[in-house]
Amino acid sequence: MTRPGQGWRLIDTGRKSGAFNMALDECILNSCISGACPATLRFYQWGKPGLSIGYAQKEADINWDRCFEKGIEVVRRPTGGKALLHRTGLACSIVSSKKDLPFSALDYYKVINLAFAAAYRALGIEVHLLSSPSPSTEPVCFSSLGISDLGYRDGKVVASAQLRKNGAFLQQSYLPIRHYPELLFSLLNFRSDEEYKQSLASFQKQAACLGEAFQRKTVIGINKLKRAIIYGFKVTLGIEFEKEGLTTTEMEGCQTLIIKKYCRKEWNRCRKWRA
Amino acid sequence: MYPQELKYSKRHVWVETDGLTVRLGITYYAQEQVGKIVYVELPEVGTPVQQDAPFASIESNKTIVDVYSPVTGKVTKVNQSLAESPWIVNEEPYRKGWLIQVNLSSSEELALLLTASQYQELIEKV
Repeated sequence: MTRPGQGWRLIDTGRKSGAFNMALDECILNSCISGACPATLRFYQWGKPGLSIGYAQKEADINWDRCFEKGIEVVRRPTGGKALLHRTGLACSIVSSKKDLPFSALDYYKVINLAFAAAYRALGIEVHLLSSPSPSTEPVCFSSLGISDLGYRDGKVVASAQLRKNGAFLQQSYLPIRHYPELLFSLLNFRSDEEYKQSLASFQKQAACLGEAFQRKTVIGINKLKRAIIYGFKVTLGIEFEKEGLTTTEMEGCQTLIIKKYCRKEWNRCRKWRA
Repeated sequence: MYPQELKYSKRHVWVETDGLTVRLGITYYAQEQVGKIVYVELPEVGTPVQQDAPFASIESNKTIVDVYSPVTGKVTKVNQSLAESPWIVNEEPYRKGWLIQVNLSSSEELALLLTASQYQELIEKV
């Protein structure tokens, strides 16, 4: 296995449940903190449509009954931010220590989004880093723009959130191919019709995606997108990747976290769990 | 920016001491690094805190950051106002933006803390 500073591990776990995806990201972060694994880029997708919500997101933001009726799995992320619908699109997690990416805290989003920017440009999509944030208190991730988010035209094209812990960090990013506002907004609660309309209007203006960028002229293959991202990290940060598997500790830790945390309503609804 | 009467940890927490009772919060540098704070998670009164273990979480810019305790003891008070107004930590990190009050197990850990000028030196090197 490569050691931190020498090369990054590349993992592709394919389509899995939201609980699995969140548990594994947390395990890889813990593994990086303990020095048992190098910096890691992981590609993943959701097995069936699912909603991920931010660490501190209010339980009342989510229409839990509607999610249940529609068979939508809801999982609370270990990272911040707001609700995100995972359907068609690619998720990436980046786990690294300060040693591997020696930038100041506020620069991490920028640096990683520059790598994504290089990936999108390699696909022929002209993107830019946003400099004028429009944060909001709405429950939807794509209804607000953060500083250094990756923009396409007036919107953002990649959703990202982070957890920093013990000198290491986990960034979870989602690169949507299509958005499904009707489904997403039906899964959330709003304080009033006015807030619903405003949030939907912000979403329609600001939520960009790969499908929009290609104007439906091209079928975007997930594998092509993955190759572009690897290229983006290589040219922007000089990172070389080696395809590797998970360690036994990570696999065991993941199973434990699925059962004890990410599958439990105590965590997903109320952010409570016991190790 | 770094009041002389306070002590500081290397992990950017300030400590105000009053015998075996201390008040903890994050420094001006820490709040500036994380950006506009939208959420603060604090322990309940009576929770034990451990030196170098996280005792609080902060969200800002879609990022969750742990806050590490420089002391060991038991939480005796928490700043309830941060549940509704977490941005106070940005606006007044040393006054209204305090996080928790702790009853120390022992005062020995206080000797490891930095003075204001030592802390300022530390952050200049970051």
